[in-house]
Amino acid sequence: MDVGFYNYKLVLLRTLVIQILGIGAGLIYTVIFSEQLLFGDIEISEKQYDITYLSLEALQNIIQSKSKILLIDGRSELAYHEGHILGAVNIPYMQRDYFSQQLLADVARELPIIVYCSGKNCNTSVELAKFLSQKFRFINIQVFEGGWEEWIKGENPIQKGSSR
Amino acid sequence: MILSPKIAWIGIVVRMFIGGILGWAGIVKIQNPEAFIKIVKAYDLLPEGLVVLWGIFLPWIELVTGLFLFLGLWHKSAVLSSSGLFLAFAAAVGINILRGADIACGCFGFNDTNLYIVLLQDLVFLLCCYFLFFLKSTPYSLDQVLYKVLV
Repeated sequence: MDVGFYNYKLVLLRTLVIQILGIGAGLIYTVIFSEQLLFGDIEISEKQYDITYLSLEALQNIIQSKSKILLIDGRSELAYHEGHILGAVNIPYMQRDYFSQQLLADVARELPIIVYCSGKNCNTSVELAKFLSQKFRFINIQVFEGGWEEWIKGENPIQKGSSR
Repeated sequence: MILSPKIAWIGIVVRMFIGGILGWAGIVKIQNPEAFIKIVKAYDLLPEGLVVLWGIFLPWIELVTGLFLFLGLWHKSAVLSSSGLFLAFAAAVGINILRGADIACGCFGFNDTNLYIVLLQDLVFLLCCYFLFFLKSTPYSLDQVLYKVLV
């Protein structure tokens, strides 16, 4: 019994079966409950945290209108030091607890907050926005989805070094 | 091979722990597939077409693998499947640490962990799999009931 049970071909075959079972279960579940994932466009929303996304133009307009906002750069301290959007403060995602406590403890929860990270392919801005929404109960948090990469493509105002 | 009672109990605990971790991680991701697909995209390792498929099916492979391991069914195969998953996770995280990418882990839905800790965690889980692989099976498993495997 033991020799048959631990025959390496059988072990590999069963490994494959386990994975195929997973794929099969996933396929059935997805077709029944979220067919649009397989056959439609995916709308990635973070509605449960009331996070909305902001385009480059929208951010430029907000900054030009000089409305009172808090712009947060979620990248590392080094990346922030090398250059960031003019007026942004730095809350590196990895040290978000410490930095947010230092910078945001006395900020009114109604103040519009805009968070960004390095570009479209980073997700720390969304995660940071969720974190801030939960920890400080800010009610108006937006994510600038294009991030630093999109900002520096145009002639947009930047700043180097620390603004703190 | 007859396991000493101590090793057998460690085997049960490790088996259920790793199985539970995988199953839980799978369930958390299944509940919000769009968010997980976005995280897979942020890792920037797969071509666009594969991102969605990976995001949909990986959590299910995790869940089924975790279930097999937790119940002790097809022990070595479940361990092998788990090792493959942890190896893939460790590679994905490792590559993004080297790239200096600012991504959140997405491992258990909390996105709460430093990538270095995630990598270390994956390597510890891999070590656990390595330990489990050398046990033929563990007591209180379906292998024992269905196949009368001696442990």
